[in-house]
Amino acid sequence: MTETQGLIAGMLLFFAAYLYIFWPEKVLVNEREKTRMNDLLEHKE
Amino acid sequence: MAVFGSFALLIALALAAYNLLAGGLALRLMAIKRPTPLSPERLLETARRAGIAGFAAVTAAACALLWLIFTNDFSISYILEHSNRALPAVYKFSALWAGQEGSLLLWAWLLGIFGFILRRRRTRNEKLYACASAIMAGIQAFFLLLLCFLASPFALVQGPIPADGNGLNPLLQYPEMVIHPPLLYLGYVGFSIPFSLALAALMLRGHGEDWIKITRRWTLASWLFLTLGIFLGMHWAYAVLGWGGYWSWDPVENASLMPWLTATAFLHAGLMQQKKGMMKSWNVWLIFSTFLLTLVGTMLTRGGLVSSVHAFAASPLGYWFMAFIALALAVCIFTYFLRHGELKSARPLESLVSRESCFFFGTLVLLAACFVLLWGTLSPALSGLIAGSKVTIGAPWYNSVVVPIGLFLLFLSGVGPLLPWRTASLKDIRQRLLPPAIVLAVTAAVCVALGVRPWKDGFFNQGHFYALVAFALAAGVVTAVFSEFLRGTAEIVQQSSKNYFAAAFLLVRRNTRRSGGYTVHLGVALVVVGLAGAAFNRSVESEMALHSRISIGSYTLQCDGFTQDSNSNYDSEYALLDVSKGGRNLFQMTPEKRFYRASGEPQTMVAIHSTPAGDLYVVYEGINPDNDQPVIKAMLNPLVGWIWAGVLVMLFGTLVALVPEQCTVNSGQ
Repeated sequence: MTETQGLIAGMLLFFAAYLYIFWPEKVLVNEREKTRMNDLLEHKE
Repeated sequence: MAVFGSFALLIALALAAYNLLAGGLALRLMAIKRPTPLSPERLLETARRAGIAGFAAVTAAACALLWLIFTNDFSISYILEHSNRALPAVYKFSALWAGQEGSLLLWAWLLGIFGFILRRRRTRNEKLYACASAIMAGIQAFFLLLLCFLASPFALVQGPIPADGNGLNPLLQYPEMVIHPPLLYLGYVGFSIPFSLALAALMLRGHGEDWIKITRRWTLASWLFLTLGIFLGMHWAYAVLGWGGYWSWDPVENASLMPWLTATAFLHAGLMQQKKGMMKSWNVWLIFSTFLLTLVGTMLTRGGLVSSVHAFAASPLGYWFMAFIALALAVCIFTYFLRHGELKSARPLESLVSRESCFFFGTLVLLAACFVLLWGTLSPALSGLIAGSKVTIGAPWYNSVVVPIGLFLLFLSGVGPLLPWRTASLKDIRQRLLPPAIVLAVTAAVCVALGVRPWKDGFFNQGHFYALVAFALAAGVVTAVFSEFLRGTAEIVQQSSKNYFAAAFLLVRRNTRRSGGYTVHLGVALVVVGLAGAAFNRSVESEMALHSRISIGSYTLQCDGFTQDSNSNYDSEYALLDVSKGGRNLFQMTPEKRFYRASGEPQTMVAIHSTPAGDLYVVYEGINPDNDQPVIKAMLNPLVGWIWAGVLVMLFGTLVALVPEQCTVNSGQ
């Protein structure tokens, strides 16, 4: 593996880590604002 | 690949720093309970994920180093120093932790693995786990800082690149050395989890007894790894170093024993907290001390502060370790004083003759042993710093102090399980202690009759005295454990229609922790018997011409020849010795001396014939340069095999203690 290839592999690792950490899989802000009524309605659905 | 490895380490450092800072900030935001533009839950989740991604980055760095070792890339300074082309594949793995930089990477990698397991767990104690994860990230950041800026395993060779490496240290080219360091490190690093959880519980408040329940299995597993690591190290020293012993009170050996002692105390004191709500402050400090002592151990091995066969050459890393240990200690002390009001015991010690008092005294004695070792280990370094000349503390000093402490601990390990909780009546004491006491007395009498006498020809032999006490106490402990086990089994047989085997199995399943603990005590008793055998070691050393003989004990060794061999890794010389007993030929032994080509260093390979009664241990010491005669040393080491058998029993007992308990309701069905 040349130096350039090593650098590219390192960058790929960095971006993979970045995506894994910050991928907005769950928007917890919205969940926090959910009321008990919303929760019950969700369950009913 | 070296660039990728360095890059991966930098990424891991950044991720550990993010985990620590984001985790800390999120917990702070949660604590103040004020609306913020940042979602603390989301922040906490990103911190957790950073920890997991950090594990992937350290794994990538470790794999990069392994790849470079296996492809013989001698442009990397670390690989040039610790590997060579002819090195067998299995030892190329050992090269990963053969040097300072590699072993620091192993520390960080194992910490990453443990952190990964911790962070993958989703429990109701989410905040506790998140705080522990941030603390672990702090520890990880320290090791990664060292790896990135002070001891990089990917540093390049300056100047022309040699065609072959200097080879692995011959002492490490032995099968057990492939697993001894990782096991020891698994033990060391494993204690960072109970430490982090304990510190997190103190920092967060309101987690009361949770941490002690959660950490029990982590501590037990780490204790098991450390125990196996220590005993594998002993076996390696016995089979490779060629001096006939297995423990020399070397500073690095002591450094591994100290956290083992405090962890053993923590396992017992933790039980007191879970069952009786006692010793809460003790437990916090026992696990803090255990973790700090693992760092001291790593500092002694990696920092070059003490002289040892295990230690690396002097390096500035020792001072960095000292600074980190001081910082960790300061955090522990500060947090403890902030929260010590929550650590009051639920009840006082009611009687001096009770199981609680045995646990308490056991803890004190284990700590005393640890202090003795710490004093003995650090004295040479401290006296060198203060007075300018190093004080040497040798094996006789350790033996005179540690052996009586160990025997008292063995006594407590037999008495403790027999005493009831809270208080014991005279009737209880008589009923339960009488059988072991009788066996103890009978064993002592039999040993004296067989010749184990402290006084011989008017002289007091301390070794024989300790051996006599050890044999008698060990017999007492074995009887105590079996009588307690039989008593429990008989109760189940009485209450149900089960036969003895089914009742015994049920007894173990109902309380795996207690049964496992008793089995470990049994193993310890066997180990002590093996250690006591050292008082009767014998040795003979002689130059041996062809067909000449030497005798030791009932064995006669006759030299059948000397021969040579070689392969791409080393040249070897070995002796062919026919062993006979009472004129009857038994077997042949081939003690060997190897000369490794890459490093140019010699290495002894001892020939050992083991029986339960003892080992015949033969060393080929080389050729006497004055007369070209080969020199052979033969030793008769009684009962050594009992040590290794005892370790297997301890392993089995710990595994039993790790099995989840079957609840009584199910067992009754």
